[in-house]
Amino acid sequence: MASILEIRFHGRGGQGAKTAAALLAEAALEQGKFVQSFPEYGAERQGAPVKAFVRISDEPITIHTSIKNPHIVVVVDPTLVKSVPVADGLDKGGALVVNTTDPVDFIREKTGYLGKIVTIDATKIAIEELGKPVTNTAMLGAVQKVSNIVNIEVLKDYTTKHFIHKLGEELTRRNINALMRAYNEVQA
Amino acid sequence: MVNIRELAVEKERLAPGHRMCPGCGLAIASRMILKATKDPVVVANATGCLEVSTTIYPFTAWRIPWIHNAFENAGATISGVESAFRALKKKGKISSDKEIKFLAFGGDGGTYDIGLQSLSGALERGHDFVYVCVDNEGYMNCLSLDSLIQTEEGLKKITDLRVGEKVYAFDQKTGNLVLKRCTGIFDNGIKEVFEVSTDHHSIKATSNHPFLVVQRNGKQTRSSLAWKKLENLKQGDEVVTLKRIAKGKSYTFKKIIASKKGDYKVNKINPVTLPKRTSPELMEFFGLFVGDGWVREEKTEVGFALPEKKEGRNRLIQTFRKAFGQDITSFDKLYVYIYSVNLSRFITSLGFGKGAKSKTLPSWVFTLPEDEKEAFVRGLMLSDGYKLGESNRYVSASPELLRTLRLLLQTMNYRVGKIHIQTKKKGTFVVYRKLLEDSSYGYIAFSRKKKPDMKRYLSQIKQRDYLADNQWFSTEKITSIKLVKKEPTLDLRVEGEHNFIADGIVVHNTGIQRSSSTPFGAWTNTSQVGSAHQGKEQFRKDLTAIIAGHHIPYVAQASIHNYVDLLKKAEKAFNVKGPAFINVICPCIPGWKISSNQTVQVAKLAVDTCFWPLFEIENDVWTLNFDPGENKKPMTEWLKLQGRFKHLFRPENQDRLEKIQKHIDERWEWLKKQCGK
Amino acid sequence: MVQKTKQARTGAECSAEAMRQINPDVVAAYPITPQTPIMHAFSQYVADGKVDTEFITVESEHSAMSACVGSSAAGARTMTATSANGLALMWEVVYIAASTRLPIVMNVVNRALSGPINIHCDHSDSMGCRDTGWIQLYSENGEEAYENTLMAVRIAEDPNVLLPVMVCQDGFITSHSVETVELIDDESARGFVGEYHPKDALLDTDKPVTYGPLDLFDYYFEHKMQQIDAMEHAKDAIRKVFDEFGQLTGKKYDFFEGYLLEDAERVIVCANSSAGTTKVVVDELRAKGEKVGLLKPRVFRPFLAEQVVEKLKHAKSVAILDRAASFGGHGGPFFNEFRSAFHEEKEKPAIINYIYGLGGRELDLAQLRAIFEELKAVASGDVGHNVRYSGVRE
Repeated sequence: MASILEIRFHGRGGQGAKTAAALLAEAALEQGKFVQSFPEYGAERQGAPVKAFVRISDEPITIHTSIKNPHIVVVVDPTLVKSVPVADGLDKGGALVVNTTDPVDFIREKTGYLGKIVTIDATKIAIEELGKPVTNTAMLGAVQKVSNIVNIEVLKDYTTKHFIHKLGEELTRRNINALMRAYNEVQA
Repeated sequence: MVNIRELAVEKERLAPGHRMCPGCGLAIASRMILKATKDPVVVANATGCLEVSTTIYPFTAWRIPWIHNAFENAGATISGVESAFRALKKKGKISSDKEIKFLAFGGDGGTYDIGLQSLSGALERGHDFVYVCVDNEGYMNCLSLDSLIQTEEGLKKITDLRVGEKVYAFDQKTGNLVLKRCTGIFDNGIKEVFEVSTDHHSIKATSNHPFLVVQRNGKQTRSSLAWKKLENLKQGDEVVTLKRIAKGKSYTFKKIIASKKGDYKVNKINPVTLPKRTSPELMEFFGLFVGDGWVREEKTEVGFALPEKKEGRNRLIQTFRKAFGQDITSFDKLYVYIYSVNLSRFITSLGFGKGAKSKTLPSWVFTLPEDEKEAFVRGLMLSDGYKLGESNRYVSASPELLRTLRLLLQTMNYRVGKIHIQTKKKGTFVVYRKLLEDSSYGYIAFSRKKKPDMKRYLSQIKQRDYLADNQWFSTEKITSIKLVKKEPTLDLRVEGEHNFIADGIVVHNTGIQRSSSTPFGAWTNTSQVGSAHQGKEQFRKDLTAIIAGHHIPYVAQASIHNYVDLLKKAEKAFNVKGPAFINVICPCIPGWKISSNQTVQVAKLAVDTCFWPLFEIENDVWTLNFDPGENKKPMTEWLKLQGRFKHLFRPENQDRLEKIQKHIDERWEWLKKQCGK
Repeated sequence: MVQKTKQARTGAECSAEAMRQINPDVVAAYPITPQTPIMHAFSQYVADGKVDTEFITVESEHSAMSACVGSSAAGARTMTATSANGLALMWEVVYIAASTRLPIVMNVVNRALSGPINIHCDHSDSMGCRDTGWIQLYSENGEEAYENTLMAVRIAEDPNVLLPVMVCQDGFITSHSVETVELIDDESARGFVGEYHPKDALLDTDKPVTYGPLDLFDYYFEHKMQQIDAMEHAKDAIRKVFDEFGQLTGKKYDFFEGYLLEDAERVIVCANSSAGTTKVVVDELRAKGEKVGLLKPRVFRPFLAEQVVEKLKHAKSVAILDRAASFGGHGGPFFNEFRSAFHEEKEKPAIINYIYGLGGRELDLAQLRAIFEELKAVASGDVGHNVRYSGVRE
């Protein structure tokens, strides 16, 4: 049975966690991987906690369950660390990537996670690059650095393709900037 | 331009031979609308009178493409058809110059009520179609076709009744048996039918058919009689049934073509004097005939299977001599034969049937005086009857005979049990004869009703039979109410008492439920007239105004009586690009309780009283087509023609009439203002 | 030469893609979660001129199916999509569509019927329609939904069939999940689907027809027999279409598809996305040497009982998984039909039922492992309660 990389995103409705997951999956597909990405819906409104999942594998993926034991958990909204058990099921050998200004120890204490914790102030990057605290592209960059699952160029490419239709050139460029900054700045 | 002469010779798109009531307004409206365009028309029809009466498989009255889907979705269905047309044209599968008009028909039920949503959606989307609401102001319902009605001329099948005939009814004030005129017979189509049975009677009717039942109001309050719909009846309810008919009189026979000596090829004849009317001896003879006799006209033979030494044979010889003035000369140990051309013809003409399985009692037997009926029964008992203790049993292979005999016996104050059917194997003895093969036959048991002591025990007796002291009627408890199946049904309208006697049970004439198009005050079966409420209590929806709110290119209100106006409007509707809506008033004979020749007159009065104004809305511009001005008639002129408003003319309902007039006047003034007058 | 491309698409987008390639004449639809992405994607195609379809945005699902009936009777190739209560609202017309023998194709994104209201996946909606006369196809993932939709058009329009087809996929689980799917090129898809040649079209005004007459007790039964016969013919038509489409994609399609089934002693039967998850557990247990397998129904109506027997008779125990309950019945819809297929057989496995996943309750690997484990006891004769429940709190 081929290994499947399982990633779980935690965010709040409207922050683009679902989009980030989908982008990652699609970029992986571009590279010939088999992918699966889907959100878990609750009350669909702005601000409610949401989860998004990504599976990436070299073999076809047939499983259709939520991800209970992810290898990587990505937390897009810092306030979730206190209210949602984000590290649930996270493998000790995996990584927890959190958008926060808090230090790693604080996160470790709050989540109880014993493995690798990576923090990045994606909100700051997003505000500086985009003018809005929409952190998903920055988080993508961070995840990519930590997991190295896709090729960074492919990821940039794909993200551009995805956003250009909706956001136009300028905003898309800024999103790529955010992505690259996070990629470069995060301590993997 | 409307040219009535041209239109009259055009081939009808709705073929004749459909099953709408004679005089139905729907038929008039739909035929006229279909004539308003020369282009091919595709119709989507909502469930309703129009649909049900025109397409009973394997027949269809539609000479054009037609689809019926369900009750509430004519608007959505025609949207699909019209979209398909545009899609296929776009793809080149239909030639770009092909013209088709799309038409939806809905009754007021399928348009005002359950169908409003899908109509509104179709209008809002702007499909190019015409929606015609054929408004007969109600959901229109009855008795099964084999009901037997007590008429002046005797017991008749409901299908044999004629308008104008007198039928027996229950006078609700005096409790007497009275004769009333039947003023209408209505085909109510195929309905679900239930069988209501008592110990001695059973009748098949629809769930909304009212029966006269005893209302036991508790110990201290008097019991009374009330009308209850079948669906509200339960086992144990006491229904009013017929005890006996009025004094009968001897029946005068219709003349038959009798042969006589000297006629072509007649050189020998057995002279038999045919009696002119019934008599006890003759009826006893007929009784024997029905039980044991047969006719073979080709052999000019009238025969009886009456073995010698049996009482039946003696009586046969005696009664024949008395009634026909002749002796019987041809017989053997088992059978008696009479050879006479005229006699055989005569007997055939009476309606008793020819062979064992087809025997029945013709309706005139029910009109005979008591002594003749008793004689008849005597004759029957001498042939296929026998006594079992206190009770008499009559056996026959003809179920129809048993059914009619049962009803006859009930009018003679006999107590009669159910019809029992049995099968006996070949070789068994049945009433002195050996069966030649397996045979299925039935029997009924009957006995004289014992007369209770009325004076001493009246109230106790009344507990058991509320009408014990009524010489014509009694009450019986319902033993079962069963769903039978879907059957064609008919209904009667009887003047005065509005009830009649079917299968021995007193029933109301009826049908008809309210829709949101039913006018204020109208009687319907779901807006009944009683002491607490009198008819429909809401004013009707102004659907045409609701449609106007969709701001479609063309909206109109029309009437079947003004065909020029209707045709012009239909023509405009078909020619306009986008949705068009026409609301047409279509009087309904059974629903409005009018005669079948009053349809057009009633439609005209609806317009003359301004109940149903004629107007158009073309691209939001309202135009009044007809203003009666000083000739505006009062509402009472229209209301009084219709039985469904009869109760409004009682003195205590004067204020309701005024309310109606006021409402109509207000709506009329509003409309005139809308139209810039 | 058929060209296949791998794409990342949600299940809903896959259905929309199939519809785009089919380019139906008319689509009439009303939104309801989780079917909406199909219609959103499709209406974008309409807006961009990628299809010529007349898209009727009706005001309720009842009107959606009503308009579909009108359109299909008119002679147009007609499609729609719905879920759960939308399907329930149109039930009356769903029945009429099949009785009127109209080849409408509908995507049903399975969602639980209210109440209480729940937007997640179970099969109560399509199971509720199993007697309406529609052909039913089930899809494990978006790619299958895409393929089933293309094949559905051919099956429905087969002149010996002329019955509407519903293509089902799990709401949210596959409809909203982006997965790697392999789609075929437009030309091959269109070539496969072909042109629609309607019979007895309303718009053929030179040959007027009456649709939907009053059919009383003297004829109705015979007309229902014709429908029953059509379902029988559908079995052959479906097989032909499976073979033909299989040649395009290189895959094999069947009424009931086995996964490591041939020598399996313990088998799970389940449809839609759960089949995919089951495959993972089958692989896991097989690696340990356990003889387990999966049977996945693709076609539920018509129900090819012979194939069920053929494929399962060698097994020792079988668990039929139903994602819908039949309240008051003995077990769920699949259970009753699969079990009944074995009634006359001398050689048959022990068959039990698990009701699972109602209202979107997840069927996870642990539950499946437990079921396979319990099948051991069943195989050795200890059947116990033959209707069980998986994943519910006691």
